[in-house]
Amino acid sequence: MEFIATQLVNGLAYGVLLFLMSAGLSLIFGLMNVVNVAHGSFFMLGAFFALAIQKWTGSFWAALALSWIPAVAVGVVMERVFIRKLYTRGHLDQVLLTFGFTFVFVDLVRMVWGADIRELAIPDVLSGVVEVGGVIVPKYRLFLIAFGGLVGLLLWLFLERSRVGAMVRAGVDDAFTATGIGINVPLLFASVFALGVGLAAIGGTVAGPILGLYPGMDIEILIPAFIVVVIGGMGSLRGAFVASVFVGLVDTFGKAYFPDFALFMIYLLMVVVLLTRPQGLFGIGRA
Amino acid sequence: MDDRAKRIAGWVALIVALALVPLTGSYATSLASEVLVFAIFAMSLDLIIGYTGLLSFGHAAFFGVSAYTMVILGVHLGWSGWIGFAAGIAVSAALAAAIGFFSIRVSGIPFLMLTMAFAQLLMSVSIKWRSVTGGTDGLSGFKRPTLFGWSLDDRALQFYVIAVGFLLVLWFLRRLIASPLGSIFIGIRENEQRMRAAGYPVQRFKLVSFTIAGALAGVGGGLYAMLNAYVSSDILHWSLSGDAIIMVILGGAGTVIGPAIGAAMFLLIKNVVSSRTDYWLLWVGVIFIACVMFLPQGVWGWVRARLKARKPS
Amino acid sequence: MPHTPQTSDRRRFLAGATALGATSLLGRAPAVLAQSKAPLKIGVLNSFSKVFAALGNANLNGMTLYFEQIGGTIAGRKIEIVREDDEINPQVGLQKLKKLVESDNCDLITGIQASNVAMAAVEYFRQSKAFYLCNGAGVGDLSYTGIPYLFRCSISTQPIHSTFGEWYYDNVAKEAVTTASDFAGGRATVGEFKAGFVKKGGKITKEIYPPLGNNDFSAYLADIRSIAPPATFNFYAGTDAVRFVKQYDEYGLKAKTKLTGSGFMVESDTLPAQGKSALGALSSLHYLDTLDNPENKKFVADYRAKFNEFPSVYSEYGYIAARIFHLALQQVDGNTQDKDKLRAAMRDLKFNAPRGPFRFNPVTQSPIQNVYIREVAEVDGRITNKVIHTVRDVVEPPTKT
Repeated sequence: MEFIATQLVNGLAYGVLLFLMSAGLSLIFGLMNVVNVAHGSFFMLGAFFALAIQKWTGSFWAALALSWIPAVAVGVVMERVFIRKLYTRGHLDQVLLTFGFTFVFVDLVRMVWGADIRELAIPDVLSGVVEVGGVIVPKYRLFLIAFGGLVGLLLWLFLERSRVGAMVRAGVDDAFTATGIGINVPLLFASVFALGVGLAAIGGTVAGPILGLYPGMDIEILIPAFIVVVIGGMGSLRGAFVASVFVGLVDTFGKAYFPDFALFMIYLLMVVVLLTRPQGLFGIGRA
Repeated sequence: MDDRAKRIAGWVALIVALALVPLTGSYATSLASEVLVFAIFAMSLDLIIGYTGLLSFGHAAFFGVSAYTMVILGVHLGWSGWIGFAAGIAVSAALAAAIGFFSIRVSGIPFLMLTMAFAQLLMSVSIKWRSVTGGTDGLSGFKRPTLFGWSLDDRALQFYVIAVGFLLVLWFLRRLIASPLGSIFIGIRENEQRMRAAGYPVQRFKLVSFTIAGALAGVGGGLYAMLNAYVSSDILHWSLSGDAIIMVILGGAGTVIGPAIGAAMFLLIKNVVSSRTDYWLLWVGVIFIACVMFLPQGVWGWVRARLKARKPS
Repeated sequence: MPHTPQTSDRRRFLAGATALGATSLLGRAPAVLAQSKAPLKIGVLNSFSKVFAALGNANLNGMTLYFEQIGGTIAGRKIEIVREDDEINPQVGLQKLKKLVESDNCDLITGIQASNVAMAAVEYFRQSKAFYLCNGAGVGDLSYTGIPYLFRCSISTQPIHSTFGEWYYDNVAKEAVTTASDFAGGRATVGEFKAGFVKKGGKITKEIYPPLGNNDFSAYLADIRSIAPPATFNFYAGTDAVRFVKQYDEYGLKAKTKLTGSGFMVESDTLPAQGKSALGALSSLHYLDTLDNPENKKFVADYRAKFNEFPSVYSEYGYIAARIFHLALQQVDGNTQDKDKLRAAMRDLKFNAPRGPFRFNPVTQSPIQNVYIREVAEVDGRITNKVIHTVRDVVEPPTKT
């Protein structure tokens, strides 16, 4: 029983990690209809910027609070100069362009920080374990669950309840009309892209201590993030959250009970979902 | 008549150029062999991307499974490479039909992810099934077949066999694209809805396109096995599919020979750059981005458009 | 057409014949002398991009350090290093290898850290008869190729792990749970550990194989916790090693279940990122930078002076390869044409390396060297390994086990 409880917590923590990684991706697709394959690169950039900030200030919290700033700066430049030109050119070209960017970013990171694996240290208050009813959980994982939940909540509030969120949704549904009623659509899109990128960067910062920092880390989370977003339904934040937790649990229990098939599990899951419900669990049905 | 003469001249020039390659030396010949193998791979992918309009991220599956079939049959059962070659193409065609059957139910991003997932599943199998596939360390000890008593260990003969394979695939694709079937594929890429409305069983044709592309990739995979006499799970990784996509886009999607040119460009650029700097990924990325932004029809696509523009109507 | 000799072979033959003719006309000493003035081209094929980049660079650094120290020439021939990146990809590796041997006409080849590239290259080495000193890949199979001009100066993993297995039985516990990345290297390592451990009577409670590139080990760690063995034996490489060790510590397992594993799991490429979480880990390897012998002290000091960082086991690989080339080529006066003579010279080598005494196993042409049992500790404010036991002159099995 204790074993199952332990795995449940593990699965939840991993799921929240996946959510932080995939929320930005889903947002950008859902609100802008843009596929950003370089999403993993911003995850990586966020982690490395956090490393730099931590070296400079000695504080993990400072890194967490600030690492998104330089990442968003890079993202804004990328959006202005390159992606903007491809809004009308469709998904294929967006995939190709952002795919090309992954190569550039990974080598840039290697040039600046070198190829060695780096450590992003967590503050003492978050290290160590707690025991909850016989279940051992590292404090940092609990922090992750709380943090991820908070981010999810804030995002939801922003999108569903705020005026800006409504504007974003309007701009996506019908850019022409939206402009007609005075919404600055290009600025809106740039802001949404910035938000998505910022989320990826924050995801990288909190995941960094667990995953380790190195130039290839972008690809390692890209696939799980895409799987989560596709299963949850591209464009649905709720879908991303549910799918993240679901995938986290399936992955964890899969490893615990079917160790030989661990490699297959999440791919199989995605295949099953895509074949039975191609738009994903909560997808908005936009191809 | 003028057009036809031009085309024949083109073929003759190509054949002569290929025939002369082994004279450039042993190393250059092996480089050329590699280019042709990947040219076949890229051209086969273009049938799906450039002509039928589907972006597949799992094409390496068909390339790889064919190479594996050939090497496994040779190393474990001692079967001749030629039988293995035929078996490899059959296996990749069958696999393409199976994967295609499921994948074409979706399109766009889901299609991309599904094809990638199938390829990754296949790679997981190759990693785990160590006794048969050699796992991540791969299978070596493959004996290349002989052709009329001459061993394919000979670099020049290797190249000629691969070149013949390349020419056959090229010829096949040209005929295919020019045929009614080819026009249907193009029609699906242009406007799937219209084709459906006109009564075409679009799904069936997509499957046909996918299967043929898989079989052609299998030809490439078999030739790869002959070239390297080795296979490992790396051949199934999605990054190889990604490389093929780059070759297609760089050379020109929607043209028959464009991807071959893209393959040559990609491999040669990568070779030259990586000998000079460790940061060759950066350069490949920059070139690819420039291509997507400014030359979306690819190098060959651009050349062809220029040639057409100069022709009097 | 029948098997045509490689162009480079033909060229060399012609060159040699001409030289012989010329010198016999002039009545001078053997053509060998004329040959040995040509630069000594050493082809280095390793991974300089992607995840092994740090390893490839360290290796080359060690090599250039040594060559610099001897003045950049051997037996009157100026050393020229040609380096190529194999991208950890067998197909690219093979093609670059052909370039080094046939287009660049390198006299000697060294390198290859990635085992898949090494295995792909075996057939090529057999057919081309190129002279190859492997200074990276530890994969067991490389010891049993039977290729006369193939040597290895890095390690063969079998003796490293089986020796640890025996020591583990005597000093840690009589049972173990093993975990390793599910790839050829991981499975082989556990098999090698078992060869030593089980043979002495040890019991393996469970074998766990997480997939390669695994992000989250919590499920496996919970499993280990519920089994509660006295210790575990593990193998992971690179980033997987970092994550596993950090998460092992994160979950508080070290206190009740000792962490042991292959030396590569807690080496200088992973320790900086693992930090304190690696403290106390037991492992075995043929080298550690705190080894207290004069050779190593000098090597570490020189390396630090030149590169501003401590050398790693990979740096030592490169350093030793350079030394081997130096000593062997001196014996044959720089003649790389007569491969059999060079081979004989290499087989005869015996010297003290930073890792301890070194010589080649006559059967496998892989090293006979010490295996050190090590513990991760903080030494002079740095997290590194220290020796707790030395097993001398370990010889690997003469045939594949």
